Amino acid sequence: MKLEEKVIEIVKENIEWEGEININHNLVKDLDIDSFSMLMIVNTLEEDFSIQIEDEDLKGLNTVSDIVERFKEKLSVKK
Amino acid sequence: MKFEEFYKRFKLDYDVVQKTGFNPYYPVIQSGLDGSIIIEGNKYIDLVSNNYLGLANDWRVKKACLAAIEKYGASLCATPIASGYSELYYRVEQKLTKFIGLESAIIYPSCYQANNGLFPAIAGKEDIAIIDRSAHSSLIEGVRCAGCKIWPFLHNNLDSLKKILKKISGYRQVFVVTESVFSTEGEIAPFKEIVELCEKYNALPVIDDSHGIGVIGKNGKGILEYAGLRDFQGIFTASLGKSLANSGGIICGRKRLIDYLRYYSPHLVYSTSLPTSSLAGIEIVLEIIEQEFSELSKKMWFSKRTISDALSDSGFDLTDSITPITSIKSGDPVETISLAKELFNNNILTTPFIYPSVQYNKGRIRLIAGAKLSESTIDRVAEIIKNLKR
Repeated sequence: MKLEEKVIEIVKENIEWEGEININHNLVKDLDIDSFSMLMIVNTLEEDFSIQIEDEDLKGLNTVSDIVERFKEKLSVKK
Repeated sequence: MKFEEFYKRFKLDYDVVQKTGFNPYYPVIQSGLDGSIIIEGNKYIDLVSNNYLGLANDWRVKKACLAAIEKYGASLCATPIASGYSELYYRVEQKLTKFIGLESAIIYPSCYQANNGLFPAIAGKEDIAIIDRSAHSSLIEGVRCAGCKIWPFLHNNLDSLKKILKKISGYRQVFVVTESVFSTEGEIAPFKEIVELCEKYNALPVIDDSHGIGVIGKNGKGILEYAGLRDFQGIFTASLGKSLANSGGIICGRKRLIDYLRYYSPHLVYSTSLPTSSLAGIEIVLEIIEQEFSELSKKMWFSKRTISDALSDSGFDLTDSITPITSIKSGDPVETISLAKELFNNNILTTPFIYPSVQYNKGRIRLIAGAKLSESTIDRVAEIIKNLKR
């Protein structure tokens, strides 16, 4: 599964959302994601990819695409 | 002026109040809870308090409270560990232990304090708390203060909880934290199934039964009775200020833990003990529940059903509540406060929940119809609601 698809899957399983999610969706305005939803998403990413995500990594994340790009950076640093 | 920059940080947002012309918070109450509440000399129907069984103003409860003040005074002016632990305190802890059906109980000045104090005493950075995302602020702040890992699960969603329990490993202790009756929407947690999952994954369940004790279960004993759970090995907390009509909070569970908290929970050890008047009130309420729960419960459910049906028939969108809490889905903060104002103008007092207590567009108006409301009052409420048709 592509990373983008995996991130979307993780976002979807951690919010109460009916319908499709795409990478252009705004986390707050479109998906109603609050701090608890974000914590659930981050925890799942950390656990599934054995990676540590810091508070700094979450700054400036507005869309699903932002999560994907930031996460790619973290994974490439980990390698 | 000194510290101006510091004090300037604290601002209140009056935007919703300005748009609606109404601030429902901090009404100045001029009466006890008698089915109605007096504010600025006017009577309002009480659908706001958590006085489920209508006992807060009961003459027997007041008599017991006054007798305790006669004997012990207004306060013992000390923490329980020092000289604030009266014979009455001990006796009420024993009675609560028996009522709930666990090994031991300890009383705190409030359930907020109990929940806040519990987790820092029992958990640390080697542990993880998996907590319902809609859990009460006191539980959330409590797990935050503990410094343990926090993993919320989707509200009342067993699949979400199970996925997390399956994923995690390497923690000293896993806690699963939730409430029995969720105070904003009135649903009941699938607690029997949660306990089964906990047993399978060696997680310790922690349940806050504040809106369940004295409300659900055949004899009003709360979630453990309601879910048919015997030999509960987890931790139970509850408020003594809702159906038990007084103040305070309890933590119940294994004696070993409760004895530990008596000495190592700062929220108890360094806080002036609950006044004996409240303890006496709790003691008599427990007796009343043992004798009269069936009758009081019938009145409470009649009130709930009448109001809920009236709201439904009038086109209001309600949450799926199977408890005496009725909750209207009221939209954004302005819509929510506007509806609360409409009810207030019809002399009905309710609790509006707006952001950040709930998600921004998920405002709620909560109505709690307790046993104290007379049939004629309930009929009047139903009539008013019909005229507010949506």
